[in-house]
Amino acid sequence: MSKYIFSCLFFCFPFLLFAQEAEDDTVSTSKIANSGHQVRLSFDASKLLLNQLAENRIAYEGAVDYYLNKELYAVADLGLGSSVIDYPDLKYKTNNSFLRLGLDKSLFVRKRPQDWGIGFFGFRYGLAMINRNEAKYTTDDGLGGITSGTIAADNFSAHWFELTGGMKLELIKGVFAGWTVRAKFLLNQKALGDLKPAYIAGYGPGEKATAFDYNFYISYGIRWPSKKKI
Amino acid sequence: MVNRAKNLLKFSLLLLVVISGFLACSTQRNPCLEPKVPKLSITCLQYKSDANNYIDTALPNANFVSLDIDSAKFWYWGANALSKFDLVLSPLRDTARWTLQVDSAFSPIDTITFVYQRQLKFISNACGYSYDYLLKEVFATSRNLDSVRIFNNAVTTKAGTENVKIYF
Repeated sequence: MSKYIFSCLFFCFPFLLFAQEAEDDTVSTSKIANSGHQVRLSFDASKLLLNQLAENRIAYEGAVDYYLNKELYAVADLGLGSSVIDYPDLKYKTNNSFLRLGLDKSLFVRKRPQDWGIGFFGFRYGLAMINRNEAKYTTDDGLGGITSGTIAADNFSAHWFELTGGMKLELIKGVFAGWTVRAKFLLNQKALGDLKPAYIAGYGPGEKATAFDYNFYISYGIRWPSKKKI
Repeated sequence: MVNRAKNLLKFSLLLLVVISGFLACSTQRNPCLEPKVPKLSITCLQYKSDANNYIDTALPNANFVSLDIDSAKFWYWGANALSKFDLVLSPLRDTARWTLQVDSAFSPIDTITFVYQRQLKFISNACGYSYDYLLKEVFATSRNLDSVRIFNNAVTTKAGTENVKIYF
């Protein structure tokens, strides 16, 4: 429960701060004549940290976003991961890759062509292809006896919808750091079968219909100017 | 604006470490907070002529013993003034035999045999697997009891279910 509270605080903080900023700055809604183009490549540094702290799972995530127009960014997140469940009464391994597609809407209007830092909210549609190895189980009811068996390996897919929010700040030319928080809603939990994966990279716990997550991205923006209209 | 944003980034980094700690802890196995073993609930009833009905009847000093192929396990021994009993079924076989002695001091012993179907059930990653049972038939001797009836054939971990009624 505490992590959800932290996530909510984490999510709300920038909006409070940016709301204060709006009072200080004169917001211009005028369109930039030559906004330029940018593709931003990001990798999630927080997962590298978590991979060290967590014993039973590994995940790698990256993202690509492209500035469309009117403070809108098209975003594709992708990654892969695996988990190992090694309990006395339950053992199995899963691995999966995932893709998330969606849009981010910047809360700031760009004033100059070189303004690429954003505070944003957005949404994603996520899809993960999951492979679960053969699972081994043991039951012990104390009186009736101990049983054990295996559950056949299986492949399945998971779909989910996400609401996102966060920021990316340009630290030096082209290099960004920022975070994204995510509220995720699993759309096909029943399709995961009886033995739902304890961890799905890109989503989280397969047993829960709602999950929260965050990313801390280090990004690099590749830019080129717009063609001048004659 | 830029300075504030940079301060925000520092704040974010601090929270990143904190939240990473929380999430890392959440990767540990959660405790199993659900009942894992389904109980076969038995209710004892006796016909009361003045009420012209069967009513719950507490047994004076009951013994319930599980009979295995080569052993007997005492589940209730001298249980005083109970009218409801929770038994377990074996996940290794499709039948379970129990003996019932209403009063351990002197009453005759009856044998009750439950025939059932096993259904493997995944509870959660925290609890693992368990079995539910579907009662098919119940057989009983009638040295002391009158009859045995299946009331609800689903033996699960759901609380408040009456599976079998024993009439005296």
